[in-house]
Amino acid sequence: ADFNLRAVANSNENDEDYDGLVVFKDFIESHSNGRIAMDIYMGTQLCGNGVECLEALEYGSIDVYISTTGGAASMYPYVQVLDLPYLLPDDRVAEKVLEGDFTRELRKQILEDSGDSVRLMTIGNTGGWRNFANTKRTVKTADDLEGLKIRTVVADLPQELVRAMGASPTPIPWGDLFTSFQTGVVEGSKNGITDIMGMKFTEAGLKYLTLDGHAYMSALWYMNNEMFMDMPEDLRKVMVDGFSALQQATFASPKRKSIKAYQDFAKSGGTLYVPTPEEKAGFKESAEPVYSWFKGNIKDGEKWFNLLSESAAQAQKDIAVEYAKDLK
Amino acid sequence: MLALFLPLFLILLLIGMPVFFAMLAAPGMMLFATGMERDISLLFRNIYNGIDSFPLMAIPFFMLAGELMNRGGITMNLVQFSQSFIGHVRGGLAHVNILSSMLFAGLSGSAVADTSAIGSMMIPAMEKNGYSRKFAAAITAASSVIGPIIPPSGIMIIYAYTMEVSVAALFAAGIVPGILVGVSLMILVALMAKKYDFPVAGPKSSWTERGHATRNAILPLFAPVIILGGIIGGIFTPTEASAVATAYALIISVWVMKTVTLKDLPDIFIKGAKASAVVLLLVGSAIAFKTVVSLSHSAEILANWVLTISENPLILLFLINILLFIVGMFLDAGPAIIILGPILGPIFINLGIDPIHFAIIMSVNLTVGLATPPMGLVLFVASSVSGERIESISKAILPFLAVEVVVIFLITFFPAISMTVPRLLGLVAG
Amino acid sequence: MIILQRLVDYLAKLNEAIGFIGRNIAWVLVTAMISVILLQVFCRYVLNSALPWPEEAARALMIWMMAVVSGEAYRKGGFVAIDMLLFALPERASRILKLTLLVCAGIVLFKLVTLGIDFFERGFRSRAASMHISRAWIYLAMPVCFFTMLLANIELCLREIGCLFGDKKIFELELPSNSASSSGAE
Ligand code: NA
Ligand code: NA
Repeated sequence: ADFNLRAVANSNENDEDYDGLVVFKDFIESHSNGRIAMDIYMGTQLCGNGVECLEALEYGSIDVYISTTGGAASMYPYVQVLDLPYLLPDDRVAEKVLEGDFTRELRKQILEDSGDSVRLMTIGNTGGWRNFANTKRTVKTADDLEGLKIRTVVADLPQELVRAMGASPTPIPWGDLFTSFQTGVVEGSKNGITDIMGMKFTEAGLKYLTLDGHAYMSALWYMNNEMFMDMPEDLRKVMVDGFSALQQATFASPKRKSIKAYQDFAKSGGTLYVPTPEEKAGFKESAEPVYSWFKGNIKDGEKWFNLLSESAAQAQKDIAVEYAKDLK
Repeated sequence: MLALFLPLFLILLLIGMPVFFAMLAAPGMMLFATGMERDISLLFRNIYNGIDSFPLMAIPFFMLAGELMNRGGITMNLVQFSQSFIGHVRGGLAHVNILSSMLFAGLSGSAVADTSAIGSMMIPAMEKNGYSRKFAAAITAASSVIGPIIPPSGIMIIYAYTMEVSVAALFAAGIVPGILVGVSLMILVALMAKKYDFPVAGPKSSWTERGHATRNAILPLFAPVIILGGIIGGIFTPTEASAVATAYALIISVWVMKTVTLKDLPDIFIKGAKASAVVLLLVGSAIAFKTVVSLSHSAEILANWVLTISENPLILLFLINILLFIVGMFLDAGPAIIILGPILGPIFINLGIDPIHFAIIMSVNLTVGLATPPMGLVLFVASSVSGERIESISKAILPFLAVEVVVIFLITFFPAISMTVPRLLGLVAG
Repeated sequence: MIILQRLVDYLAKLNEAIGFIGRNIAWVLVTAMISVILLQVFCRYVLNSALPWPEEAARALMIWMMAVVSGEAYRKGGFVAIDMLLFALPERASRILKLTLLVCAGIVLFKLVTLGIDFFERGFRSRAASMHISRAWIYLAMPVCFFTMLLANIELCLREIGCLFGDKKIFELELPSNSASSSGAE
């Protein structure tokens, strides 16, 4: 092939990222008539986390990479705007926003900050939505979270959110989390359902899940810009179409996967609570300090907060117009 | 073409290049030859990536704790404690040597530390008591491999780090196999004692003497309770536990037993820092090496090849034991785990072997490799501590190695030996 | 031969000085590392509120601890090798082989230093996750580590050349007798 690409995702082959990559690989290899070939490296074979992999991508050691917002936060802090709780209400709105100009704005900024070496190609999903789950009690309002030790990654924003809810953020490595639930080092987490069931956390006592949907688990897909620009325009188009197909695949995959995960959750004795619209509004109100933290502590925080809020509002308006046509 | 770095690595290793350089030079040369500059940079990055790790920090801390305990005269108290209980039987000091190693293992994560601490005390004592020096050195080396099997364990920390399994579960799984190795060695000593009429160390101790010895040993014996209780009970992460263990050792040796002064501390810390630096660089270079294993797809090639030999996990486990035993003769356990773990682990986990069980098989096997001739690290230390030639220790250690090989097979084919404790503690699912 | 001897003397003095400085930085770093982790344990279990920065700070301290003592650890023979062949060969052949291996190691170290400097410069783009410093200051430990090792390696090379062509009593480096026990995780 003229272009041999190397794609890395730090997750495993059961993850949505892999589903996306399989679709992407097939698309670009066939639509380029074999002029592009791609090797997929899952896990930490070539690099182990967001900083390591993004720096490897900058250098051209790898060509395609997917990070979560947390993984990119210390390189491009403003991507955490996507982690702000309750800004995106549901899948349909989130997908419309991520397919639109919001992603292009983010691309422009990342290109600038990486010296034109890292190109954000698209934003998909990995793992659905984050919800609060714990080993102690059913959580209906933010007050019920008071005092719980909740596991977070080592990053400011999720820790701010946990604090805003009156709980205590506890950084624990993912691999130690099962044991930590078992022994009570932490009493809760904020993960998607497939991750909870994938790690069998219910067996460690994580049985109370509240579908508050505080964050859409965005997956940011990047490419080495030099590699992309070296391609002739027809192949660049293949790449862009390929990433679009990948995005759709990662939008769909968690929805399909979560069905079985929720069934398994119930089967293993888990309790699911769906908050009422009023309770959800209450959650959003409790999360206000996180918004002000973001605006005050992240460079251009205000700008990104407004951009995402406006994009979400616009998407909701567009959807309302569609409802008007579809419901008749 | 790229896959040629594996034989090249072996050649460089065998002609005497330090492991650290061989792990970088072999893939570096092949990457240079295949003209991929971007991969050389990736190779370098991964040295750093491998070292920049929180779980790995437990290694320097456990090393410091061991060093402090040792300088604090704690080894002596453990030996006296063992002697007061089993010194009077035939072959007493040989038993004391093994039992002390088991107790020392609860404080230290390293077989080398065990050999030099217990060897420097027990080998002269055993010689005086009428044992041959080579026998004393051999039993010291053979029993010191218990050090990294009974937790804490540097080898298991490295395994957990590379293979992303729980350190707590791995530590819990090591307890019974470690005791099993110790008890098996003691059974062999008891048989040999009858046949060769080994000396006794002294008259049976009274319960008052035993009480006294216990009182002196109680603080160091309490350390494993803190370490293991802390980790398994979920009070600390393993790294935190290792720092707490260091602080505990510091307090007992400086303020309680007063065998170390504050002025000694910089020297102890420097010694710990140097030993850690070597291990960290080794881990870093092994992680870099592993990157090239991935790039060259040699893991998949090897895995497919392994599955053509047999798909029966029991037969494969038997063969893997032999392979690991041979590798252990030449390569240190740390690098061997980082390189072979990601290649072998997935094959067996796919065949239905529990990841923790496989981790124990691999760790115990490579740990025993530390005491196998010709290249066993522990043999070198035993030789320098005792002044006995490596060749004669190597011969004298063979019966003990035979027993340890039997234990390896028991651990391999009876998963319950390692899995029961972590299961009871709820550290593994199922 | 005199020039070589002078050169070795200077290098040895330089390496001794680096070793001295490194040792003294190292024990301070180790002390800081223990304190930082214990502080975290205290905050998490006694005050029930974990601090965000100790983990990353401790990692940075560990990397620098490694960097400042590696040169000396290498110089004093702390790196494990299989030396069966080196012992089996006649002395002259063994020395030539050893010199060849040292030169190879030197090339590796030189490459690591240049890549390390590049790595350091690129590090200014990213910020540590929980501390307000650029990651470059952590990355700097790598070129420092490999540069001190390179200096030690050059000294060892020159000593080997000296032993090969001159009086080995002058050029042989005296090693501490217990160097075998310096390997750690095992
Ligand atoms: Na141990
Ligand atoms: Na022993």
